[in-house]
Amino acid sequence: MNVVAQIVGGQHADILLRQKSGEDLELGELLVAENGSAKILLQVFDLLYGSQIQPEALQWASGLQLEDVSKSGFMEEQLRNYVLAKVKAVAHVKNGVAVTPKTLPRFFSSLRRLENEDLAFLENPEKPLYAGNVRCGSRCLDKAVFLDGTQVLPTHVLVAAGTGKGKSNLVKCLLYRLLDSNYCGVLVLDPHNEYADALRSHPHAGKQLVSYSPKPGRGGITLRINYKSLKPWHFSGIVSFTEAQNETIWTYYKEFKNDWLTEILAEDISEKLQPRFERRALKEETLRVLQRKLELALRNSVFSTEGGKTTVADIAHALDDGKVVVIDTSGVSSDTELLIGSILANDVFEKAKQGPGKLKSIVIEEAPRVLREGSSNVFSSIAREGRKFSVGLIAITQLASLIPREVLANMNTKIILGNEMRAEREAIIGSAAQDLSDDSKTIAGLDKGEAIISSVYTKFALPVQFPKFEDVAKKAAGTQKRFT
Amino acid sequence: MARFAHLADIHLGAFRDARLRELNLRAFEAALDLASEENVDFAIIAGDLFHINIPDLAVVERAVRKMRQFGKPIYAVYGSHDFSPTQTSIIDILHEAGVLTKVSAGAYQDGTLTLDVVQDAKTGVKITGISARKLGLEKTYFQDLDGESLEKIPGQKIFVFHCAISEHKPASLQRMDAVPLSLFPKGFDYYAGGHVHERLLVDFGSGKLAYPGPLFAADFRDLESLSKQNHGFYVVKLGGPTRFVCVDVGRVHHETVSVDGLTAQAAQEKAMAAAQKTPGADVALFEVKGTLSQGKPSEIAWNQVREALQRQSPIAYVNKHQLQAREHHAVRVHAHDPQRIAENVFRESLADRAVDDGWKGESGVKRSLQLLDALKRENPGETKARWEEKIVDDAVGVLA
Repeated sequence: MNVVAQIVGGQHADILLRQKSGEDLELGELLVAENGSAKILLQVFDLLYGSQIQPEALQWASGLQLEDVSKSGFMEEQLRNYVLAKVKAVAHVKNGVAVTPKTLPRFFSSLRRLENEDLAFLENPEKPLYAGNVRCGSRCLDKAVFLDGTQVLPTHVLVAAGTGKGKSNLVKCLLYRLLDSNYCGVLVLDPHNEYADALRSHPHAGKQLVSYSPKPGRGGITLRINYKSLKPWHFSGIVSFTEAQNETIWTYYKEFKNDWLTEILAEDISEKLQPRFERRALKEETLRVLQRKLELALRNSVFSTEGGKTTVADIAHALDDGKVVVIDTSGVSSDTELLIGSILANDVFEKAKQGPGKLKSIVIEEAPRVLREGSSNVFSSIAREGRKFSVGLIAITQLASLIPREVLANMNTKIILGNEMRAEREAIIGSAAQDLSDDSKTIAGLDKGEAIISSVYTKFALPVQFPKFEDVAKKAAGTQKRFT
Repeated sequence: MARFAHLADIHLGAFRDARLRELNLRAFEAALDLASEENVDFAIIAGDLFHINIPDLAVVERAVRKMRQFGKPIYAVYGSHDFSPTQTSIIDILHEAGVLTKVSAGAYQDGTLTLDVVQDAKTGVKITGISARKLGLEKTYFQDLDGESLEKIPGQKIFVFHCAISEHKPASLQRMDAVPLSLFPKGFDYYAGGHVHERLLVDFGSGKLAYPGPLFAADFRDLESLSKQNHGFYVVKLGGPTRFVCVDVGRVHHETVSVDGLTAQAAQEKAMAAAQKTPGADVALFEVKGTLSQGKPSEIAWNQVREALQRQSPIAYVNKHQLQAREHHAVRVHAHDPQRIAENVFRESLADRAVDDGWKGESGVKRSLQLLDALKRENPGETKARWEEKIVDDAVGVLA
């Protein structure tokens, strides 16, 4: 056994180790204490110095070196000065099963670093959701982590990270591996147009990936949504209307059904509603303001009176078939993007409510735009009730603190990337599935691609590393074809 | 300036009723007569000239006679109905006989599909295209297409295709496989489409993209559409206007009568009264729907209703697919052509059964259709043993 440390004291959630000289333990690193046939996994959450020499003597010795009085060091320095690590027991593994540890490892136990074989208890679910490779400090093990997608995806996933910590790379890796199977339809609202091209290299992309864009690349479909597909509730929480405006909208919808929007935007008031305007049950001035609001929300090439008649239905069918559907909203305003998201998410959610169907997940970037305090829209409904209907969110954000606590608590799996902002770390730690109260420093120190997965479906908060997307992506092998 | 007729979805040989088949043939003959009157340089048929790949020879004979009489070049691609994976479609035979020119030829090299281009002798217009295959598999051809080399071809160009376009699918064809516009080669002056039985004419790049819709009808849904609007074809002047020319070979009347909540006897009385009042037409489509409060649909004397209709219209059909007895709970699938019916039956059946992952959802529907297709393929003239071997190979290929 390659011993790297030894237990020298502490208590259950705060065990003290002495690091062997020449070894460099890292924050977040996983160590193993063997206890007969059982193993206890321990995770480093703090590092500090230890010394057998009085502080005054150390300061005196430092002065001698700094002032060039003497270059001599300490006798048996590696015995006298050392590094101490604080660790917590995270898993007790016996007979291939991991449980929450309820005992302490033996006092003075020797510890070694975690190896692949120690993780044999990690399951390979039938419907996997790739969650990176196990990380031991900054060392990435050759052990992929797969969560059970059927559990994790409907109960929502939060991807929280500071700027430049690898959110996009993580989502690309996650989606790429979801293309391997078709157990879940994934709708990706992509405001930076960064996913479709990347995912196209997947061997199943031809069958499993569908992409929409206002300016599609080769193979993509023009994003166009016909006015007839828009319903009054799609605007809920996206565009604010007064009571009078809402009443006008609903009157038009009751009267004209799918043509309500065309009729509202028509210059001339419909003959059918003329009597109501005449007796002032509806007001023309309200209608004109409403027209301006709606025109503003719809002023782009995505919404059209021609074409795009089957876009919403086509996307629903693709999701029912377990495909990944990427919607490029990079060229449209934030409001329009949210409106597109609202239309599609509403359709997904309403269909899911009608009966059991395939599992669905919706990826939303900058999630607090729709999951904020007081927001009432389809995304917040999915966050609250989606689980019942097998519809989940994958919410990505830099600002988890803006998401209401209740919604954060509903997100049963959190993929936590590095974050320098304390308030953000606290919001995530406060709603994590495991006690991460000692991991704030670890989270602050996570490098790009390094993450901690805290989930009610994992035995402990798993340190993982998401590889570079380029390393994950593989080129499809060419096949011989014949033209007839 | 080149001038041509763009026809599609003619479906000669469709319908079991000889009178409807005759109307279909007459529509084709009338269309070529009208095209001649329009003084076109050539005609394009964007797929589904025939309803099946080896149609009734009497139908072929009439069609060939008319095409020869037309006397102008006819350029065509296979449609989803007259496509043959074994190269023995009637389109190939007519191509070999010089009756028409198939413009969807090409070859794969290093995974890229390069299309051959046909040049019309009189106008110099270059024409190429992609034929349909069953189940929308032509999308693969579009994905592999070397579009750049086609874009570089100088002069006026026409691209012929037989598939739905994702961005322009009609609302009624949600489930239809489609090809996105981004896979179409750019720089053509005209994109002549077939397959979608609804008329469309839109700008695409600097050219036009069009579906003329069916010339007459391939099924009862088309007949219903014909009761609301004329069917026909486009006359296109390259670089100039595109005009729709109506082909009128008979008037279709469609009527729906709701008997919801009525007894069988009251339903019969209502249906009879409505049938007697139908206006005269060449074809009457009479749809009776609803749930009877008492009695069964079979208790209604449908022959009397039909006779009443026939007094006004020589060809009369009564559709009672959406009429049911209160106690009747059978699952029904509604579609207007055999392909859709098969698709819907598989969709319903698979949803109710415990099947392997590969047979679940839409992929299961597709595989079931492929299997059905493989099993029902007609023998193009091979020995029985060889043919059986081929069928088994194809079926096993689907099941693998």
